[in-house]
Amino acid sequence: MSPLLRLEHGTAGATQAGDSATAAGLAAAVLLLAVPIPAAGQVEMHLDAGMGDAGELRGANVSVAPAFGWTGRWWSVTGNGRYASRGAGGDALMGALEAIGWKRLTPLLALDAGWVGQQRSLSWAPDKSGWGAFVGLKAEGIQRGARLELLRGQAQRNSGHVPLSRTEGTLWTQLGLIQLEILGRQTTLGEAIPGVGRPRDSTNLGGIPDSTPARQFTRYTDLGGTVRSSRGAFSGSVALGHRFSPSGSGSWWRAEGLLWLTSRLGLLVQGGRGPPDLMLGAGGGRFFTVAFRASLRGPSSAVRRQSSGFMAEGRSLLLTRQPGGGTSLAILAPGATRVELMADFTDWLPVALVPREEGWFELESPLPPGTHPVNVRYDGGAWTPPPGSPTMRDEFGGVVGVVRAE
Amino acid sequence: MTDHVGVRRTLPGIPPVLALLTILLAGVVPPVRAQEPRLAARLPDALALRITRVADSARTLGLPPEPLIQKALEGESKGADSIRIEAAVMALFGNLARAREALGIRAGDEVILAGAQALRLGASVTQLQDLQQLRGNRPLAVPLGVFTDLLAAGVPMESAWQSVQDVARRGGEDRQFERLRERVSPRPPDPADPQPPQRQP
Repeated sequence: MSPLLRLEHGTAGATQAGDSATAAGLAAAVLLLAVPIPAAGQVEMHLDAGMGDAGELRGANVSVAPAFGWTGRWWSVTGNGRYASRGAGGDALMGALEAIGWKRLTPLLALDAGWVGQQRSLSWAPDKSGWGAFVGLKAEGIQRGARLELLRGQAQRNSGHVPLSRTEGTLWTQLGLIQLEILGRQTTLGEAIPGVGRPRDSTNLGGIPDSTPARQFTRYTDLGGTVRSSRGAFSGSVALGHRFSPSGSGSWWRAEGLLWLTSRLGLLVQGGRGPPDLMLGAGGGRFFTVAFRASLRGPSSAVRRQSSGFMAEGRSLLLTRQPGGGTSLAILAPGATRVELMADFTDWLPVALVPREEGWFELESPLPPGTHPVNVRYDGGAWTPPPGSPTMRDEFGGVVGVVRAE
Repeated sequence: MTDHVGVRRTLPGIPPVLALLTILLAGVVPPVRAQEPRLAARLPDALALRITRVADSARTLGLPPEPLIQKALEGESKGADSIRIEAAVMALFGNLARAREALGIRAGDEVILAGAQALRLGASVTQLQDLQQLRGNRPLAVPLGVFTDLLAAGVPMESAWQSVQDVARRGGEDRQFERLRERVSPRPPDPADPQPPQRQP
């Protein structure tokens, strides 16, 4: 489950009372907005302001939802907040944070570990805090459109934590302007059965009941598909899925449309019904939002990554039209620590691309319109064409790639 | 004694009108420019001067000078020697001039450059002229760019030309040319590939 989806499902969790929770939630929201930005190129941030109705925030008629992502070479932190008001009915505040670190073992294999937590404070319902943590092994061939992730961790259940293990596989492909993604996921939770104990020592015939409750391992299986597309200033997605579990099965769906009015301001409409988040123990629910989205960098990196273009040899070149005009360039180079580019628009001087999450490197400024001869190099190696771009021999004994920007 | 008489005296054998025209033109033609700063900063002085002159000549002929400067900078960045850099710049100059001749004086810089790249990859002047005639007054940059990309992607000249020509004959929009490009899966160059033809001006 993507961090964003996980956080949004978290908006519908059960709650506990307490003024301290209110203060913590407020602090979290302020922190989200006030966190220092070390380099604008590594930060994604947006703020949705509009009308919403999400899970137990049902009836909220005004909502403000900031979100940010801060990515380094081996870690990322994402945060999400929401303030909702239903007038005289009261206010609600929610903050959620997720931190993930990873170590790439090979170009296709990575070890990762993460923590996700949320704090909620509702004046019309009890408050709640919750967290989950995991360690995982992830194999992905982005250029082949496949990812497999195995993880073990702790999940929030009621007031305690239970063991969680998860296997998740994703396949995706590009069909013209449409990207299709298929998801299969099985999550096993070791949920406690209250009041059932076991002998502390089975050889002790007079066995004393243990206070440790017995565990019942429950499997949840999710199958789903997502269709995404973007054209010009509009991007949209529709996701459908079904969860199978012993306690009852149910379908979930989500639809989202985002129209960029300027390079940084868009109109967002989203709605759906989310499944309960198994990591945070928060209940799912229906949600609907109509909001203006103000963004630090326009379309999110996640959206850009999904609109993948050329792919070859384990490395990928991604050219994406920006809503406000211009074309951004990013290169996927798993395992590389430094990627440089030179082209006619840099006067053939090397320019370092900015590292992003999971092996992506991005040119900080948009490409000027036109056709450009381009070379790139990885970790100071030889100059080569960008992966997958049309190539031609240069006059100096090398090969140059041809990149077209609109 | 009039100036006319003076001219006659100082330039014996040259018709007075032509002599006067030469003097007037000398005032119109711009003086030799200083070296282009980017070239002066990165190339040996003599080479920078020669490339600057080629760029000035291009400007005078209505050809885009910037690609010539970029070609020299590209050579410098790739560690090429002066002879190779100058040869590359002169070859590009020649292709720009031939593209201009084929596509006419109304063609923009982007179209001229795309034409020059197509010529470098083996296209002929006749093909450029044919494509321009087929397109009439419609923009030529995308069809030429697609033609170049097809050649760069390893599509045989005959097939690439046939594809582009077919779309142009049907009066296709830019989007239809773009689809041709999308059908091609690029391949890395093979060292055994023949070198593209090098033409001198």
